[in-house]
Amino acid sequence: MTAILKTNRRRCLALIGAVGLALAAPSVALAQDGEPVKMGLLVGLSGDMGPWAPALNNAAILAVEEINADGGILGRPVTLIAEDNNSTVDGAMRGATKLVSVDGVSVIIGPESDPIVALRGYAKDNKIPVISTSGGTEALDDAGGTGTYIYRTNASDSFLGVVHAKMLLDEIKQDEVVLVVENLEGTKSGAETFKRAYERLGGTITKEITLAPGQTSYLSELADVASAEPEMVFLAVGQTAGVNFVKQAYQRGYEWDYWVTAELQSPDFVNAVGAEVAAGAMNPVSSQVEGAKSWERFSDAYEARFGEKPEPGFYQAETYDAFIAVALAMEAAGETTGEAVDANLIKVSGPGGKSVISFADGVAALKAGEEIDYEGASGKLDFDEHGNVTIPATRLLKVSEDGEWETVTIVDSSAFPAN
Amino acid sequence: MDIITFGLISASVILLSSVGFALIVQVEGFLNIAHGQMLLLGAYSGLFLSNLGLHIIPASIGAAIFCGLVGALFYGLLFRPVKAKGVLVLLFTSVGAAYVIYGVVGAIAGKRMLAFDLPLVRAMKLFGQPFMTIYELAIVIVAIAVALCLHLFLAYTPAGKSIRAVADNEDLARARGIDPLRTSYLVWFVASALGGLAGVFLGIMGSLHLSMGWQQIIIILATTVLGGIGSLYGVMLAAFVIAFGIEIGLIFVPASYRSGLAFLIIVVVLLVKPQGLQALWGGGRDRTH
Repeated sequence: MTAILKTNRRRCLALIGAVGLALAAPSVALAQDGEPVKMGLLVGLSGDMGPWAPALNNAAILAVEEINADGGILGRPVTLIAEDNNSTVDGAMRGATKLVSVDGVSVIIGPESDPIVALRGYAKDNKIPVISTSGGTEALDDAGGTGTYIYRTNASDSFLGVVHAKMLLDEIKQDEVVLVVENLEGTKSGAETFKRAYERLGGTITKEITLAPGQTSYLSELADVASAEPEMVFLAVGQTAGVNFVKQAYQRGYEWDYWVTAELQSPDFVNAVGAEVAAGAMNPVSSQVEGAKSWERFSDAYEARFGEKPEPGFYQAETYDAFIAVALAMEAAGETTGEAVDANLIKVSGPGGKSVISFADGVAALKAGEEIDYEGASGKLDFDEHGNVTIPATRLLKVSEDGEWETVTIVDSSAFPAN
Repeated sequence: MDIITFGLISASVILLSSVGFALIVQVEGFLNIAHGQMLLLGAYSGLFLSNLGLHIIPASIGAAIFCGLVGALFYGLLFRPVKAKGVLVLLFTSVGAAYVIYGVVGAIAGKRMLAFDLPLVRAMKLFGQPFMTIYELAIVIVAIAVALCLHLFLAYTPAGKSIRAVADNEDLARARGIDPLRTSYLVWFVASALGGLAGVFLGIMGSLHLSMGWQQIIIILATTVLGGIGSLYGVMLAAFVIAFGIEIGLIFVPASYRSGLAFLIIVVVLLVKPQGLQALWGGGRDRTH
């Protein structure tokens, strides 16, 4: 099987390489003087993260184009090099090695949970900062920070677990659920943190069912869930199992409400099960507070560039922020090495210093000799000592009758208790 | 009651996916890994046809015929030229072919999950209990019909007899005036068309995603091993043994052990009957591969 996977990888690699070149071309056209600064994007363009990765790639393109339009980093143009990690651990190792040894990037942005955990040693040994923009794993809760070369710009699962629990209990007053979890690392971690928080805050999990991945029929599991007669089912499952489960539940006449994790929050899921069946499913996602200038600025620029609004829960803003913060760290240091980024990333993103929401503003403030605090499109982006950020607000999304994920309410989650 | 319903549905899916694979094992004597991707191709070409406005029934027939033709084409272009080099070369060629199909489908259809746009249905009631949806009933009927037709075809038609003759001893069949080439094309067409049809059903029951072929080939391989490599009837029986074994086993163990149960059944059967289920009626004694 290894041989097979290798062929696959090589094919992907060639494809992504070509895409990368094509994407990099316009930024070269805008080139300023000097050797380009290379930044790597390492995401799961194929595999489990496939549905989300193109959005992260877009955000990276937007950030790099913006930086180049504003004169580049230290007067040098920036080149974005995108690499596929197949959403796997070994794909991440291979991709990182290629980005660093062959392309010579000074920073790697984007690896998801499993990939970034695998890269912890690599980042430190090679002095290359690795910044996750969508990895929720609890393993990063106290693994990162200055000196470790590991950061992340999205919230941890342990915080999301609290968010799920608080939203269920406070917003829709649901204190009993049946928990359905697919037997995968990511979904299990999400379910575990939720369960802990929910039970601590007064909720009851009446039954817990584990789904084996990749089955065509989940009929016996459905019968098992039905025996608990739930009002609401909490689904911590991947896309394909989720579709089969929800579809078959509808066919058997079970009218449950669904509360889902980020895995199912996509138009693909609604489309696959049918709008009528998916209607009412809810999912809370991290969000910038309503009307935040940095979010609106980013959202408008994204829409102008790609013809669609960035979607809540798709981590575009988190990825954009990572690129801008790294660029500002390089500016502040006066050099573009991985060490310079590691030493300055927490400094330029605050708290303390002049608040800036764009690369251009940040550079101007730095030139004027001021300390800066980059306020991200995704949130305040104030890294703690372990390289983690908190999320200012939570947006509760619900599938409408015609199958759109719509915002029901935005709740200030900055005061939610830690798990 | 539930166990019978659930088992029947699972068994039909497994049977329909595996039977084409088993046919090629029997006649060509190698494990055609590309068969899993035929399911993928069938599902996506069925979706393509149905998005063109075709009703789901002609769309699935169209997809099956298309897959059959692709299978025959693959045989002519890829497998026949390397057949003389032995089963290992054939096996690796099929792995390559699998990636070709996977890559092309992925490049055209994209990596996102897709689904057939079919009207929502509820399960029909039997004695007041939800029984099966019309789609599930269709797959059960088709699977049983396929098994039956295949048996009648192999046992009673000249073309079927020639398939069995070629599978048993190609040289002798040739000496008796059977054209092995035509027989092989026929086998590849039928096997691939059945794979394509299974893919459409998988897509209808759940969703269409690029890894569905790889997921299914593992189940197909397991079923084939359990049935006894090279035995068509063994595989048909194995589909039911695995499906019902799992459903009955789930009474005693949590559902997360589904795959574990399947392999437990296989291990136990192979410990008792190393030739697989076909040993029950004396098959598999003279097999050399």
